[in-house]
Amino acid sequence: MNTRQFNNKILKFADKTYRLAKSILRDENKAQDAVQDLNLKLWEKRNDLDKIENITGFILRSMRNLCLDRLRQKHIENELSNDLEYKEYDPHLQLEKKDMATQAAILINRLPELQRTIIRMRDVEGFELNEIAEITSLTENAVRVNLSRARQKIRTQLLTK
Amino acid sequence: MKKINNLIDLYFEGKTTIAQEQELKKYFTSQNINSEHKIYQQLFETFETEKKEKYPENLPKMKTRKIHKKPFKTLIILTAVAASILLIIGIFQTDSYDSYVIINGRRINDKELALQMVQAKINKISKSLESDMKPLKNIDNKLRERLKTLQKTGTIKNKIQHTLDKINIKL
Repeated sequence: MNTRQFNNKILKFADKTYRLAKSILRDENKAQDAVQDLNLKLWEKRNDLDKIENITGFILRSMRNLCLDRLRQKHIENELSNDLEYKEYDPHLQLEKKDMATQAAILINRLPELQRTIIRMRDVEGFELNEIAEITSLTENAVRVNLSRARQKIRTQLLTK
Repeated sequence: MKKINNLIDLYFEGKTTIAQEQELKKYFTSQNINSEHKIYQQLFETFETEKKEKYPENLPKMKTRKIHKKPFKTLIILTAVAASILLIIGIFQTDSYDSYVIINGRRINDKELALQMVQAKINKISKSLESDMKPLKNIDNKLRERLKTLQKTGTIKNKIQHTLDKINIKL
C-alpha cells in the first residue's frame, strides 16, 4: 500500500476508531492519542495491509487491542473482569447531567468494557453480529449474549429512574 | 403500537435484526412517539448523536521521507578537498624540510649530486643490460642465417620444379 492509498483508505477510519477508543478509554484526549498511535502502527505495516481481507475488522480490532493494553498498563479500573458488577446508577450524576441523551450515554459508559463496546458497535456503528465477533475476537453467540445483557441493564436503569 | 412494543422487547433481548433496529430508530426519532415509550427515546437519541461524532482534528497525512542521494556526491567533494589539502601541505613541507636521498648507504643532501649519481647508476645498468643482451643477439643472428638458408632451399626447390615442368612440356 503506497502513501496515497494509505491516506485514502486508512485515515478515513479515524472517526470510527476515535469513537471506539473514546468508548473504551472514556477520555477524549486519550482516545485521540490512541488513534494517532494506531495510525503510526498501521503506517509501519502499510506494506502488509493489502493482504488483509477485512480491513475494517482488522483496524477496529487493532484499535480495541491497543486501548485494552492502555487500560491494562494504567490500571484505570478493573474493566476486563467478566465478573464486574454493574454499578448502580449514581443519582448525583443525574443532577449534573441534565441532558437526557447524556444520561443515556452515562448509562452506557457504566457498562463493562466488552458490553459497551458491543452495544456501540451495534447501535452506533450498525455492525452485524459476525462483524462484532471478529472485532472482539468472540463467538457470534457470545456477542449476542453480551449485547442482550447490555441492553437489558440499560432498560432496567431507564425504567427505575 | 403492538408491533412497536414487540420490537422494543425484542430489541432489549438482543434479538432484533439490523432492519428492525432501523425501524425502531426511525420511530424514536419521529414526532409520534407514544408516551409510554418516551423513556427509551433518550437512548436512541444518544446513539444518533454518537454516530455523528468525528475525530476532532484533521489527521496529518502520512508522507514518505525522500532519500537524497547527496552523500555520495558529498563524499567525492570531500575526498577531492582532502586530497588538495594534502597536496598543498606536501608541497610546502618538501620545501620547508631538508630533503635528502640515500645512495649506497650515503646520505646526500645536494640535489645536483644526487641526480648525477642516479644518472650514473642508470647508465651502468644500461651498459650491463647491453652486455647481457649480446649472447641473445648472437642467437638472433644465427637464427636469421638459418632462415636465409631455408629460404634459399625454397628457391632451389622452385627451380627444380620449374625445370621438371619444362621437361614435361618437351615430352
